[in-house]
Amino acid sequence: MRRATAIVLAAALLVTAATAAAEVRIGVLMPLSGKGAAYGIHQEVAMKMALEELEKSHIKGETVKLIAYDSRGDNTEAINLTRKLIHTDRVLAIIGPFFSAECEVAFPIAVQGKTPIITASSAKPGVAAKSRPWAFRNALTSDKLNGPLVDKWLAGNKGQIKTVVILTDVKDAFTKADGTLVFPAVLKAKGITVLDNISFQTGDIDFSAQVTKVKGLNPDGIVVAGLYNEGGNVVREIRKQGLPQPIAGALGMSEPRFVEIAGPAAEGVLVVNPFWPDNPAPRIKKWVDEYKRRANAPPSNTAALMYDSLHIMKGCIEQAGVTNKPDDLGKDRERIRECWAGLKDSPGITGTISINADGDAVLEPTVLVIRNGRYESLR
Amino acid sequence: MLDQYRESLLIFLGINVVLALSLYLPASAGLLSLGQGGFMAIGAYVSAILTAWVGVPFVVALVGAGLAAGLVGLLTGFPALRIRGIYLIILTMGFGEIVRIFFLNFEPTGGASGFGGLAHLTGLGAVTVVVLLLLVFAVQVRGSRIGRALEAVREDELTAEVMGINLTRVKLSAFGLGAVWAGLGGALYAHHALFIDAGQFGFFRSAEIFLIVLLGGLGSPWGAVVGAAVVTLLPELLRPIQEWRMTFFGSLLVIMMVLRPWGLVGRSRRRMVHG
Amino acid sequence: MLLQQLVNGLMLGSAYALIAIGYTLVFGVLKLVHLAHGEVFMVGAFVGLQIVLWFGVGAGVALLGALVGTALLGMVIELVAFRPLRARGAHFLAPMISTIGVGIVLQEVATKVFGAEQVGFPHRMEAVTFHLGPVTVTSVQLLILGTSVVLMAALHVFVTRTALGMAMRATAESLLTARLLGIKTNGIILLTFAIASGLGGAAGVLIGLSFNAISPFMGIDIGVKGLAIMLVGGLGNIYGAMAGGLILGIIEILSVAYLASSYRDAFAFALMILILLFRPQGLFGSAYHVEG
Repeated sequence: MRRATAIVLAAALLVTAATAAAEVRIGVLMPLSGKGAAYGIHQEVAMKMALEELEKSHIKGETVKLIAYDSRGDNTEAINLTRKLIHTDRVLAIIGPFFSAECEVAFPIAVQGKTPIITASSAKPGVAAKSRPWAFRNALTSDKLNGPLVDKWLAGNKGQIKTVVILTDVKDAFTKADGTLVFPAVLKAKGITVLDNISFQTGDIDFSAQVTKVKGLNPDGIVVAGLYNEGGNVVREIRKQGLPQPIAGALGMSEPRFVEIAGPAAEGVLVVNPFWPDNPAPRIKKWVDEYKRRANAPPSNTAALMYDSLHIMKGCIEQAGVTNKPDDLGKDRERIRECWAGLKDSPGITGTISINADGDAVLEPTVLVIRNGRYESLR
Repeated sequence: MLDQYRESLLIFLGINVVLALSLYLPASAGLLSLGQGGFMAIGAYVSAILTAWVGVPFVVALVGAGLAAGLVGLLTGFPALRIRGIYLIILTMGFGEIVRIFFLNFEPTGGASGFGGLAHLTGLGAVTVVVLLLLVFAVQVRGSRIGRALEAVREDELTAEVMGINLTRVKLSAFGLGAVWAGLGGALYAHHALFIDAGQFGFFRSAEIFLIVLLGGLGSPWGAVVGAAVVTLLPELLRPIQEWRMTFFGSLLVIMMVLRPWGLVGRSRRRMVHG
Repeated sequence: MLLQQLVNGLMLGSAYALIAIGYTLVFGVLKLVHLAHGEVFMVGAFVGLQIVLWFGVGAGVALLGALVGTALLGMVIELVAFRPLRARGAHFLAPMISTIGVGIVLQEVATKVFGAEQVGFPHRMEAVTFHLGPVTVTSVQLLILGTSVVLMAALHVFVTRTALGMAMRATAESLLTARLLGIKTNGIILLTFAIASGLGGAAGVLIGLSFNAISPFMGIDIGVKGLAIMLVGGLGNIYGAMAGGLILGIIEILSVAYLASSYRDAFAFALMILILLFRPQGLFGSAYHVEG
């Protein structure tokens, strides 16, 4: 009896050892619980979609294993889990984490562990640039996108916008930079006067005071630099208090959830985004429809970015000569890194993606306007 | 051998023990603070400034962090002298929030963007040394005359004063020293995480420290150790049920309090803290 | 402009007041801080929303449903997290920890059941805006004010005119004496929880209607503020909580309007600390109740 068990165990071990070696391991960090859960769950849906495709197609004949950890949006978890993925799970590369603060703590670990790490969401200026050459950002940075947005916004309003008030979320690093640095600079370059910069914070639910203030200043146009929850409610409040001015929104507001939250108030708001959820192009539409079927909700930007990142990862592993032998881990990681660094015009759901010298993704901006609860392109 | 992941877990465990002890000390005098996160923040930022801008060795940064936090602790300790129980808890909570909001808006240290690029100076060795030092101190105090003075103040202030104990001195020392230790914890944290922002030291942090000490038990410094171990390591152990971790944790708190309201370490003591 | 801001503050403040009353009721009777009250408020908002989504009814029914639902939840919390601890004579901190646990569980379950997204009431329930001279108010804001006033008035009548209400006050004054007088204190405590939680749930629906920002995490921030208000108004003092809520609402709005919003919370806390330092019994409490 004992001998039989031993043989079975040995066989099992052999089988697991064999299959273990033939696994392509990629690490994923997402916030699946806690405050960022809304974002994380969206990314998880996209991740599963990509995983199914990868499992069908395999990568170089080997099965793909995504080791996904819930970071809870917490820096301590991000630190521990990044270390775990790199040193214990020995993944080839990591996609994530989600929040900019998490990236700030996770990226240095990846640099020290010589593992490529790509965030599919953080929009904080300079986050990847600080941790070259191993850190990448396949997400949107507003400094390149707000120019076209403002252009179209001003043009669309026939040059009648001369004064603007900006409402900024000063608690989030990204919207703060957007509202206090990027937008003012872009507007000033076009000769527009910024009357005031009024602040609110992530998590605020009441904006009556700020909007009343805007009302008192009576600008020609209003810019809202917020994330989709707060941005949606700010816009709602603006229309609720009877202000008719045209509104332009920051990147965070190009999420479909923004439209749901703002409701009818979102009509006519201008945003910019490489990922156009209502894009009628067949490939995109098919993806979005499939996503909606699974999630009962439209995809978020970062979900689309997660999906694309995984496919780019697949491409890199296939084309960069990765052997996936345990001894070659260091070299494999380097190969993947090089592939990402040299990425040019890779086609994705979010458009064609290239990576620049800062490790940031360069994506084509699409200016979008909201009509009847849907995004329309303003080409 | 210790892999990087386990090492990181242990470092965080050590930091949490330091923070827990920083609350245990004033708590043993009956001063419950829900604002240790604020002192931690001060320690973290001061140590970051010292290593990143001034370029001092880590030990100097640690001392500087502790002193800065301690100074603020003494200053805030004065108003706390006349306040007790639930009032003090809310007062310190307000203090912690004010510190957080300050750093959120203070641009020289990054404001909302945070302060990054720190050197990894917190090793397992450094943490262990600090933990041992504080633990030995706490255990020694507990068994000494000072410890009995703390207990007297906690149990019955009026009588303690009548017996000749200088309330002001005892309370201020406990509160101030607790602030120093929290500052040390912040400095250790900053040089392990390599990036700090105001959000790391807010209400949640203070509440977590509070929870650790109450879970472990207010009666002895070992309670702080046990509490820190549970709170730091349990979420990792529960990772197989990732999505239910917090539900489990919350339920555990309720069950724990029903079964052992005095904490994991120590026996039932009727009036642990005044109020 | 100032008038509008004052109106804004009043609206926000009346919702805050409802939450603070819940805290103070529980504290008055049990001398304990119910740290899961913010989550009860959150559950109320979701219950109201679900009722609207399932049955297509209006705000009034949603409000009623949420009130009843959270009243029941409150009673369960008392039975599960507070009563067993009272039986063991634990010190005042254990129930606080226990309620933190309850709060976490409620939040997690809400996330699982309702999702983590921030949601709002259907847009068909969008408020109608009235312009009264220089001031703009919406129908929802009036609803909040009206409901708060009605509920607070009802509570006042209940507490001062009915036998049950007076039994509640007696229990708050001294649990032991009340028991000696033959009052079924356990039942009274249960009733207190029901009322406190019901008010919290109603506040949840009102805030949900007004701000369109219902999420499993909405309870945390509001919970902390409710605590602060209770303190400012005087622990255990219902009228203090009402006034404190209004004051905090107005101060918050004014500080956002005339300073920067980043300092809004700091301002509220600083004020709270000042009051604690110079008048620890709160603005309306009597000096007798100072000892926490």
